[in-house]
Amino acid sequence: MAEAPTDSPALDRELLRRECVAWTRHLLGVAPSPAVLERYVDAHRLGVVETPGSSGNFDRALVRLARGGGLSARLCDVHGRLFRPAGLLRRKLVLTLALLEVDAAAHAHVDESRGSSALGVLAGLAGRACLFVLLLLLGLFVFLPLRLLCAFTPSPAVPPARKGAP
Amino acid sequence: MKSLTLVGSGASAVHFAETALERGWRVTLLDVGRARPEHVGPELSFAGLKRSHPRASEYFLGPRFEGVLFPGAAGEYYGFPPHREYVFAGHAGQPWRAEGLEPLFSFARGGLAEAWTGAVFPFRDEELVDWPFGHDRLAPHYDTVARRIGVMGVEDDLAAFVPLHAHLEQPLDLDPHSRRLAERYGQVRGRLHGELGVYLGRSRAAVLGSARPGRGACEKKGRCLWGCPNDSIYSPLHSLRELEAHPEFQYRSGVLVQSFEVEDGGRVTAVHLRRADGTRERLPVERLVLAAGTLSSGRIVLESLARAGEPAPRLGGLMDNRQVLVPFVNLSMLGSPVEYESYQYHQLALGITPPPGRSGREYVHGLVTTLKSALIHPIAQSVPFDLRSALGLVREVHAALGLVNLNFHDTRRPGNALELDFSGGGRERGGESRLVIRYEPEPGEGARIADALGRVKRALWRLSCVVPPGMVHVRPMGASVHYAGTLPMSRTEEPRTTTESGRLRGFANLWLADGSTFPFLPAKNLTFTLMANASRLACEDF
Ligand SMILES: Cc1cc2nc3c(=O)[nH]c(=O)nc-3n(C[C@H](O)[C@H](O)[C@H](O)COP(=O)(O)OP(=O)(O)OC[C@H]3O[C@@H](n4cnc5c(N)ncnc54)[C@H](O)[C@@H]3O)c2cc1C
Ligand code: SF4
Repeated sequence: MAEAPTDSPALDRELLRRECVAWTRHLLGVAPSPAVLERYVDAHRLGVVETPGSSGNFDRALVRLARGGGLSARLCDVHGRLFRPAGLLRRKLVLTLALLEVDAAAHAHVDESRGSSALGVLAGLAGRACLFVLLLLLGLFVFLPLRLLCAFTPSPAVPPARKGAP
Repeated sequence: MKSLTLVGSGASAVHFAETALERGWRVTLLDVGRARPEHVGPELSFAGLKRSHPRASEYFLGPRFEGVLFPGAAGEYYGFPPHREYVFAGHAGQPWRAEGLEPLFSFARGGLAEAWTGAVFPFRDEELVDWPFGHDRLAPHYDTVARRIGVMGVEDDLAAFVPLHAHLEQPLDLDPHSRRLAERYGQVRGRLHGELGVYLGRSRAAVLGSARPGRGACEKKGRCLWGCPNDSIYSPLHSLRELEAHPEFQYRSGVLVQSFEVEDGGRVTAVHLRRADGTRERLPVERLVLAAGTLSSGRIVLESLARAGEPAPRLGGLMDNRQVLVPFVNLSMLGSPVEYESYQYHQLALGITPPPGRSGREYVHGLVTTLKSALIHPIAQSVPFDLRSALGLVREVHAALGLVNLNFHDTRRPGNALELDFSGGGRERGGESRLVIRYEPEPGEGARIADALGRVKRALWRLSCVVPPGMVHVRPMGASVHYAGTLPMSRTEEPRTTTESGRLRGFANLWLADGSTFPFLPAKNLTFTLMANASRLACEDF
């Protein structure tokens, strides 16, 4: 479960770009603009994403699995919401959403209101709730053993937030 | 010519200055006065900025991502945009420590009202029973201030609690969600009044619907929270610009007033300043008026008392309005499109009567803000779904979301106080002391909140709205930024009080012209009364 060392800028950048692409596809179904990718990497270089409380072994494992995108990302997102609400994966996803909602290319996907009837909204809500529970249960099979495994592995140190521009 | 020295450039100070100038005084205004940065893309709307401004990401989220509300952070749904940090940035020469209250200070040109939401509601007689005078003494000054700043409002059901005044301008058209609420209220108002004691009406706001010199009309750009690029929302900065054109007005920014010097007989002779470069200055004064905001004015008084040899000076009676945020979903708005090009702040307000048998001063006041242009990531992450589902849901319910901000009154209690801490050796070494702020809520506050909250939730239900479980947020004390009460006006000769005209007892030529002088804090936002009272004070002894 060990990560590539974060002080290797070249490797980091590539990895971070890839995960930003994965999160954007997961959230909006589109690819991020170069501006979003750049800001995403910047946020990591400035050290505002990882915090000591958010970056344990299990958090890193969730991020690795979620990078695969598709169902894997969805399962991790669901599991993280309930069991690691302020964990590394959620921090990365929220950062991505924040960047996308102010991005010229992507903001319309975030802001567009899905006009439908009140009944449609309530039906959609019920559908989302059912899917959430289903994915949560499915995720438990995968994530509980992983959690146990992570609990017995020493945690890597979190680099401190950097002051000033990189 | 008669001259006075005034401290601060916030809402209180500028209206004192304006009236004093009108009455023939020469005014020197001393201020830390951090300047507001230029507006980014002033011609663009909220959506336009995102669409076409090359630095929209830095503008909205900050260069160091200060505007991103990460999960688990202690922010609120409406976090402050990073470029407005100048309003709240602390001052190195003003350390503080607080217990039970999270204070906000401002050292900005224009003060805290550079970031306010412009709610202006006059106090009525029931709320002024602890004051040494009634509404009639303030009424002409509400008129004056309304003329100066531009206030929108109408006579409606809220007028039973919010006195009318001159110069009320036609409000902006309601946004679709506020309109829906107002229409529904029209159908159920009899029951809301009779069964719940809840009234709804148009908010009164210091916003321009038509342009005046130096300020544009609101063009519904939806950037209110980020700083109105049209200057439609009033800021004391607008008054300051006008004052600077007056030949008898002098503005000195970049100076921190630390204390004043008193000779025997209680005459203030000079103030001690710290300039921006750290050097000190002694400035002689004829009359001194403190309007640096309740906390900062209190600090100047405490420092001066300590300087004069008082071992442990203390100012009791600090007040602040408790605020409770009640988010709601309007079922009748579900599935509607969002109108981003809207005025962003409250267009409706609630009046909640005190429970039967309680005094009229226990009135609870609410501002109703419907969600239009806003950053979505803070809201989406609070939904109890994975972020992808949450985002989908927020897009569907965005137009139906709203927030009631309930405000509760406060009373003066001796334990809630400002003190100085010299434990760092400040006094002996001639250095800075630390301001200590202590606050404890009134016993029984919980019951008052529960009563009002219960009635507001039922009222919202009658207006077709539901309050999602677990989402009500009791804000920490200090968050309303309505500080008052440390040197109250009083008819009786008591130490640490001011006369009806704001002169501090024991001093011949020292006046307080901000919230320090309020003997009771009604639930309504206080700034309109700060301005009106400051204007009144400038008429009484000046
Ligand atoms: C987000 C927000 C929203 C708000 N919305 C509303 C609202 O809708 N309605 C409402 O009624 N109120 C509102 N308020 C509160 C309102 O802004 C304040 O009540 C009001 O601005 C206080 O004005 P003031 O002049 O008394 O003090 P301040 O605004 O605190 O001004 C203090 C001034 O003194 C100067 N100063 C301070 N210390 C010194 C010193 N030692 N030496 C020299 N200069 C000094 C500062 O530079 C500043 O110019 C809001 C506040 C905030 C933060
Ligand atoms: S909507 Fe707000 S930001 Fe826009 S012009 Fe009106 S007051 Fe200013």
